[in-house]
Amino acid sequence: MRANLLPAAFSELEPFADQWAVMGMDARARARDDSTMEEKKALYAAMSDVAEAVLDRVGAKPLADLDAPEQRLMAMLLSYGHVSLTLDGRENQEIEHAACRREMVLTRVSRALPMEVMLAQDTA
Amino acid sequence: MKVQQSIPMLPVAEAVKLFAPGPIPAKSYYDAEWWELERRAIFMRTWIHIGHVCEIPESGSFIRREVEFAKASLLIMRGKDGEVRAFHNACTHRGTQLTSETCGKRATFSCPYHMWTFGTDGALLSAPDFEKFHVDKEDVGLKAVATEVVAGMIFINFDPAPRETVREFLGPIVEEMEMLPVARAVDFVEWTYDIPANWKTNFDNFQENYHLRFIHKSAAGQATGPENPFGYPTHYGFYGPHRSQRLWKNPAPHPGSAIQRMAHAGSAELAAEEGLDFPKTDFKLFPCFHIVGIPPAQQFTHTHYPLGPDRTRAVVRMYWTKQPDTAVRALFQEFAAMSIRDVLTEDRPAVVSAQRGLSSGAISHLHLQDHEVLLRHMHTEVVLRVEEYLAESCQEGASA
Repeated sequence: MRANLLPAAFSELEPFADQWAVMGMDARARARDDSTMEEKKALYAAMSDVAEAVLDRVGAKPLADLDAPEQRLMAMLLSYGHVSLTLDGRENQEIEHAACRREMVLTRVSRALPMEVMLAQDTA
Repeated sequence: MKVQQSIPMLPVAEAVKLFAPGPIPAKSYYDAEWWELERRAIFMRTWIHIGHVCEIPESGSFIRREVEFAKASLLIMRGKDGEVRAFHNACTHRGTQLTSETCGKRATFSCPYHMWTFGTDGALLSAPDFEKFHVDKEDVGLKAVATEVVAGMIFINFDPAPRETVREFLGPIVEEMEMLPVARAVDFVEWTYDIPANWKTNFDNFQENYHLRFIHKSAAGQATGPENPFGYPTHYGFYGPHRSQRLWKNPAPHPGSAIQRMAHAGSAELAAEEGLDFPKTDFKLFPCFHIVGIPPAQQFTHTHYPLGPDRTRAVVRMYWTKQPDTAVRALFQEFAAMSIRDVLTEDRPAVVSAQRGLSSGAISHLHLQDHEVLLRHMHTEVVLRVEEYLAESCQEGASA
């Protein structure tokens, strides 16, 4: 596990950063698809209490001005949104739903964070 | 200016009176001969949504689209004059495809086989040893496909001489479409899916709420209530082959989860900043295009391209008028897209299962209730066009 990926004020989220602070909507969708229910629940539990504080932190300036740790924190907030779609009402259908989600192939995604834009340029 | 709803909306009791009651034949949902008739009668001579102008923002920008029902590869490009045009991706020399790129920007397209070179207006600019062909350059430009833009959306028509323009085809709906965020979208999220189902089986699923509380248990809470447990629409409307519905407004919706509330704050912010003001919209445009506008800021389109009697490719797009530049907006846009994708995902097993049953030939007819009146309208319009096509074919045969 890498260390100091996130702003120090959110160090309690560091154990989740490798798996969930991923760049790109498509990468976050894959992280949800590829994770176990236990991993989803762990992220959900960790983020639920601090999500508003996270949004306050990353919303304090334009996305273009976020430093790397803040961008990873933003990516984790976005991943929390993905995971909540399973845990806020679809938990019992997850196996079949995940199989069907994989048929819904993301063919174009927004690149909101500077690190995502750079990643897209590198892979173009 | 706030646009009034363009299609007169009728209470369900009045809407159903417009159509003959009774079941509709099931065969059109799986029969290969009927599908071929639909392909010729409808898809090869009706305006089909194919893209958006934000994909080709500059002169020379192009996208390639494979259109399986027409066995066509199209190049849709913006010319030096700013016009959007579509051409077959086929060199007029001997048919070689000019490019395999899905999108890009070019001033010219050169065939890799013998280097015939075309401009963005389709004109042949040069060809080695052209004087030995004994034809005029004007006669060997790229083969064009009729193209028009409405509300930022690009429509094509494979009919060499379309009987009406897109604006005539859509009538008063155009004005409402042009108020929607899609008309000035700068970006979109897209997902596609192939589904083993007839295009009508898949489209029908999105034309009724009867299945809402059984298939969409998670989302149904927002759209249903004690006085409307199925979340049935309150009104239906029709304009020519197109149709619309007015969804029921839940007077006491569930406040939603914490992340939903956070994300939706971005929706209001975007709407206020962009001056978005559009009516709630749910159009099913003939033959296979579904466009949904959910104020204050959300919009998605869903197009069902037939691949065969029991195969369809669907393309879903969520359009945005601005690139997200704040955290709350990025959260809203990503969460909204993934929420819609999750709901549409829930439909897949039911649609696939329905097609299996239909394709088995076990049932001869589909039984439709009043709140499936949009399916009845689409079936009526499909049959009408196939019958018109057959009559025209007979007349042409008789006069030949």
